Formats: sequence, C-alpha cells, structure tokens
Amino acid sequence: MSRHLWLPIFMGAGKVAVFEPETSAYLITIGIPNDATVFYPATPQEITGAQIWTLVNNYVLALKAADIAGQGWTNQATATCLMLRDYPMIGGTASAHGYNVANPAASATYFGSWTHNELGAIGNGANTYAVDGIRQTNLSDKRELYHGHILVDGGSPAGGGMWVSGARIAGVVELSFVRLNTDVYGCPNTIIVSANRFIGSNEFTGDFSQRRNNVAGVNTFTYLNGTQVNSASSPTTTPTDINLDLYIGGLNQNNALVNPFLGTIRHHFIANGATLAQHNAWYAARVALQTGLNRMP
Amino acid sequence: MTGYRLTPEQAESIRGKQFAPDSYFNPVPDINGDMFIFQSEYELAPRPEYDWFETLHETIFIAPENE
Repeated sequence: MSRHLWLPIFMGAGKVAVFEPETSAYLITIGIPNDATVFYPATPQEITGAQIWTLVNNYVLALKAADIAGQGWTNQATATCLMLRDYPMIGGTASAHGYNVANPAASATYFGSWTHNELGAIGNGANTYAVDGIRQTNLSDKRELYHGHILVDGGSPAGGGMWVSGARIAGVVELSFVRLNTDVYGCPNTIIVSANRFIGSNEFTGDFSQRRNNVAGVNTFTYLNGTQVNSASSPTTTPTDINLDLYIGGLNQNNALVNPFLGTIRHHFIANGATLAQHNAWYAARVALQTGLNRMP
Repeated sequence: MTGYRLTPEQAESIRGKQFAPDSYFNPVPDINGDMFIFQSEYELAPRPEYDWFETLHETIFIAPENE
C-alpha cells in the first residue's frame, strides 16, 4: 500500500516588512514586539505590537520626509535644524517614556511621583519634573535643554529663535517653558518664563510654539496649528484664553522646582530652527501617530 | 492632595536616589516647609530597602505659594 504525503507548496515568497532603524531601535529597546497576535496593553485601546511597529515606522518616515537636506534630525552634528527631543511616550513606563527617538543617547529621566501608563506620563502638580541628558554646549548659543524647559537662545525673532513645538492632545500637554540664560545674553536672571499654565481639564488640540524674544519680560506665544493665537507680555500675565493654560515642570536657576507639572504628556517634542513647513509636517506626523494609538480625542 | 511627610533628614537621605527605572525621589516642601513625597515614590520604592516608608503616614499636602 502506497502512502500519499501531501506537502504544502508555497507559490511565491512572502513579503518581509522593512522598518527604519530608528523604529527598530525604539521599539526593541522599550520591549514592544512586532507581533500581530500580541495586543499590547500600553495603549488606551489595546492594539497589537505589529500595529505599533507600523505606526511608529510611518511616523519615522514622515519625519524624514519633512527633512531638508543638511538639516533635520538625521544629522545631529551639523544640522541647522535639529529635532532635539522626540518622546512619543509609548510603553507605559518611565524608561519607555524617556526614550528619545530623535537622539536615543539623550533619554529623559523622571523626578517625583509621575504616573506612567498607556496614556503617557502624568505629573502630580506637586513634585514632578523631568530631565534629559543633553547639554547643548557644543552649540555656540549654549542652549541648555531640559525635558520641560529650555534656555532662550537670544537670537532675534526673525533670525532663528528657538522654536519649541508641542502638541496638546485631549487633556495632554506637551511643551516646555523657557528659562533665560543670563551669562550669555545679558538678560536679567529671570526665573522661569512659563509658556502657559494648565490646571484642570481644559483641552484643545493643536500645535503651538513658544518663542521668546531677547527682551526681558517679553514673550511671544504663538499657535501654529492650533485653534488660538495669543500672546502674553510677561510670565505672570494670565492669558485671556483659558485654553492656553498649560505648563510643564522644571527647575529655575537655583535648581529649585517651579511649576511642577500637572497633566499628561503623550508626546514631547522640541525642534530647534525648524522651518514652518517642517513644523507643520512634523505636527501632522505626530497627530497621525497618536491617532493610530487611539490617544487622540 | 495627600502625600507622605518626611523629616528633613529622611528627605535628604533619599533626594535624587533612584526608586524605579529612570525614576528618582524628589522630596519637596509644603506650605509649612515640611518635606513630602507622593504616591508613586511611596509605592514603587523597593522593599526591604525602604521598609521604613511603612512608618510614614498619608497626610494632606498644601503646596507653597507659587511665584
């Protein structure tokens, strides 16, 4: 009696997904498998690891597509436009939320009682702030950057002030405020020039940038993609539009905590010297990513 | 809100020390100058190293006046 052995024959090779190196480095580091059968709990609605890989990869590709030759985050050493901080806040832990996609060597660390979950990093308004590892001392303007606040560069507004961009997503704040670097620019040693203050559940969506003029006590806060345009002449002035109230915690020049953060960060992003077109493109990429993660309103 | 009040000595003994991956203690003063830590720091601090946290009591925290 003969035996028949059926052998499956595969007609044609299957496609293999290719991911950007930044995608792989990020998601492998934070421990999210590229697995379509694993529903990853660190998202508001559980989505699979494979979906996260695709979303993040699309995000990375979009960032690169908005790059300009010789600029942008792919060329940290010489770029005139640097994407310095990009924390998509995926993963639900302090370590995962500290991963800087733009520069993995400069991760953020968290001080105080943050809550890290699928929504991002949540401050408590009492003792939370965060710090990253980069000191921009290699740049002539001696920017010093914290996950939370940066020093103004002293440049003229039109000539290349530091753009700090953030996306506010459904009760989430993502932005820094600015501290003045006195020894470089001769400005008064002003304590934190807060961008805005956020307390409570006021929500809006959109991107906004803060640019500080090199004039003591003068600040310009401008929405680029959001729904409001407003300005304030001093850090103590309460904006007339309540939607502008948000802040993030940091340290003042005496290393004392000021404005401890209260709110949820779902995506923290700082770019220096970005053009408006880049800013808009990167904002659209962040929105797409956070939408795919089901973290948009 | 509430937190866990520390003596000045206790606060300085933990300040800046790691209590979880990429997470560090940050005791802060309340409106009276008493030092506090909060929920995540209390819960995630490794035991038995921080068994003494069990002697701390949850207490109302009133933040200092801001600038």
